[in-house]
Amino acid sequence: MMTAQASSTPTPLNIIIHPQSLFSILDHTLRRNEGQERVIGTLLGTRSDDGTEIEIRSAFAVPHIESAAQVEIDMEYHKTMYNLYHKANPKEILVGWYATSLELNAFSALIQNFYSSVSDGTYPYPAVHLTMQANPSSDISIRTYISTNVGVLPDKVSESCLFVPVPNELRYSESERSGLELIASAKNSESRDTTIISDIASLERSIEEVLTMLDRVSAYVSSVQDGTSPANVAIGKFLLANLSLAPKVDADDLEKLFNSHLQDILLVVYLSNTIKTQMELFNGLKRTAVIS
Amino acid sequence: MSLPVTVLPELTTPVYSVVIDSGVVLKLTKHTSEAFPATVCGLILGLDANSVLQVTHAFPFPPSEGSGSSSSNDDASAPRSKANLRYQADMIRLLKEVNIEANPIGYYISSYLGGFFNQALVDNLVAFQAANPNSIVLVHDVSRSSQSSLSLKAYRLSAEFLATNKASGGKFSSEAVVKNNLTYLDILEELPVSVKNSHLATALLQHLDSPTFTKKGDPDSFVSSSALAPNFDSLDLAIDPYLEKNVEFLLESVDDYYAEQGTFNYFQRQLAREQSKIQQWIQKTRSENALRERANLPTVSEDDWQKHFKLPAEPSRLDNILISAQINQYCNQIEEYSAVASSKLFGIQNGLDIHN
Repeated sequence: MMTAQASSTPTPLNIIIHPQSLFSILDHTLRRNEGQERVIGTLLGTRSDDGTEIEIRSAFAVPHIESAAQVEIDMEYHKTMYNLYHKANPKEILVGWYATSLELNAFSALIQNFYSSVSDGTYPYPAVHLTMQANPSSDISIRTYISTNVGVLPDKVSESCLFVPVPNELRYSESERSGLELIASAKNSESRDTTIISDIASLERSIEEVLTMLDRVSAYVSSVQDGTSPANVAIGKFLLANLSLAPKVDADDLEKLFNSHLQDILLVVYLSNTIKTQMELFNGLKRTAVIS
Repeated sequence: MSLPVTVLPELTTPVYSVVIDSGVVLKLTKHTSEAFPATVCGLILGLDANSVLQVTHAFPFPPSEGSGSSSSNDDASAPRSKANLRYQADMIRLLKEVNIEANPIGYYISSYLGGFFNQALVDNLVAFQAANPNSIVLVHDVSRSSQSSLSLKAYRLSAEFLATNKASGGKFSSEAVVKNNLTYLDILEELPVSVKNSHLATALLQHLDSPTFTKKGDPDSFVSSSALAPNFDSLDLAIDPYLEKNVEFLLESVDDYYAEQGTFNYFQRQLAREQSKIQQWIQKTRSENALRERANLPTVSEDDWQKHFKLPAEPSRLDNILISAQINQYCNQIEEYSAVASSKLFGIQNGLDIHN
C-alpha cells in the first residue's frame, strides 16, 4: 500500500495549460464514437525542476470503452502512441490524463491510479487529471486535480481517490500568440472561418483597434469633466501615468532619425527592385539564347 | 519507397483553396516555433473534397538522429526517409483508431525568412504529388509571424513544372524548360488559405475572451488580462534586425546565383570548344575523302565524328531556377515589409508633430 507519498514528493501548486492541448481535446470530443459520453486521453508536458509547476503542452486521445459496470482503456495504444510522440518531442513527458465530463467517479479513480502507477505512470509525481466540460449547451469549464489516496478499505484502494483541485492558468508563447489571434478573429463571424491576412491589412486592424480604444477613453474623460460620470481617482492616475510615457523628442532630432530610417528602407527597396528586374532580363535572354 | 497511395491520380478533381482546422494551426506553430531557428517538418492529414482541401490533423516528424551539423539538411528530406516512413505508418494506424482521417495530403515545413526553395522541397513535392496530385506544402515563416500576423502559405508544384520534370526525366535541359514555358516565377502555385473553427472551438474562444478572468478591485486589472488580449507587437518600430537579415540572405542568394551561372558558362565554353574541334575534324575528313576518292579508297563518313569526340553533358537548369525563385522571394518579402515599415514611420512622424 502506498503510504504518505504526498509529503515526500513535491505536489504541483500551479498548472499551466497551452491552448493547443485544449483544442486537441475538443477535436477528440467531436470525433467520439456514437454513444460515448466522455472521451479520455493522455496529457503530455513538462515539469519544473522542483515539481511545483506543471506545463501541459499537448494531448492525444486514447480509445476507451465505458459501461455502467466497468471501464476499459487500451493501454497498448497509450504506450505505443506515447513512444511515438516522445520520439518527436523528447522534452515532453507523461504528466497526466484528461476526460471530457466534469464528474469524478470510481472509474476516474481507477484510471488515475493507473496513470500514477510505478510501471509507466508518473510515479513518483502525482498524475494530473484535467476535466473539461464540453457540452454544447453549457459553458466550457476547465478544472485540474491531483489525487491523494484515501484509505477506505484495503481491497478498495485502487478504486478510491481524493481529487484535490489545483489552480490552472492558460499561457502561450509569443509565436503561438499570432496563431491564436488569427483563430480568435474568427470567433465572431457567422461562418467561423477567416483567411490569412496580409501584413498591411493586419497593421490596419491593429491601428483601428487602438483608435477605438482611444475614442472610448477620451469619451469617458470628457464625460467625467462634464460631470455625467463619477470620477474615479485610480483610473485618473493610471491614465495620467500612461500618457506621460509619450517621449519628448527634439524636432530636429526627430527629422534626422525619420529621414535616415526612411532612406534605409528606400535604399533596400530600390536594391531589391533592381535585382528583380535583372533576374527577369536574364531569364528573357536565356530563353532567346536557347531558341536561336 | 512509396507513400501510402489512397487515391488514383487520374480520378482526383483539382482543388483551388485550402481550409485548415484551428487545432492544426496551433500544433504547427508550436512545433515550428519551438525548433526555431532549425527547420523542421511534419505530415498533414485531411480530406480533399468539393475542390477544397481540408487539413484536419498534423503531426511532427521526430528529429533525425545523426550528426548535429548536417541535421538541418536531413530534416528537410525527412518526409521520405525510411525511418520516418515507418513512423508515419505507425502514427496513421494509431490515429485511425480514434477516428481521425488517415489520409496524408502533404507536409509542412518551417522556414527562416522565406528560404525554402531547395532541392529537398522539389523532391518531396514530386513524390507527394505523384501519390496525390492535390498535395500541398504548408510553409510557416516563424520570424515573419512574430513580426506581424501569422504567415502560413500553401504551395504546390505547378503543372508546367511537373510537365518539364517528366519531359526531361529530372534533368531539366534548356529545351525542356523553354518548351514547357517554365520560368522561375511559376515553379510553385500558391493556394489561398483560410482557417476554420469547429463549434466547440468557437465556444472555447468565446469563453476565454469573457471578462471572468479579471480580478476584482485591483487597479492593474483594469487592463484586460484575458487570454485573447489583442496583440500590438506589429506596431513596434524596430525595423532594422528584420530588414538586415533579409538583405543578408538576399546577397547570399545572389552570390549562389553567380556561382551557378559560372558553372553554366563553363559548360558553354566546353561545348563551344568541342564543337570547333569537331568542325575542324570534319573539314579534315572532307579533304581526306577527296584525296581517297582519287585513290579509289573507301571514304570516311563525316558523321563518324561522334566516335572520336564526346560532347559535354548539359548541367541541369533546376538549380538556376530554384535560386532565381529564392531571390524573387526575398525581394518580395523586403517590399512587403518596407510598405508596412514606411507607413508606420510616416504615422509616427505625424503623431509626434501634433504633440510638438
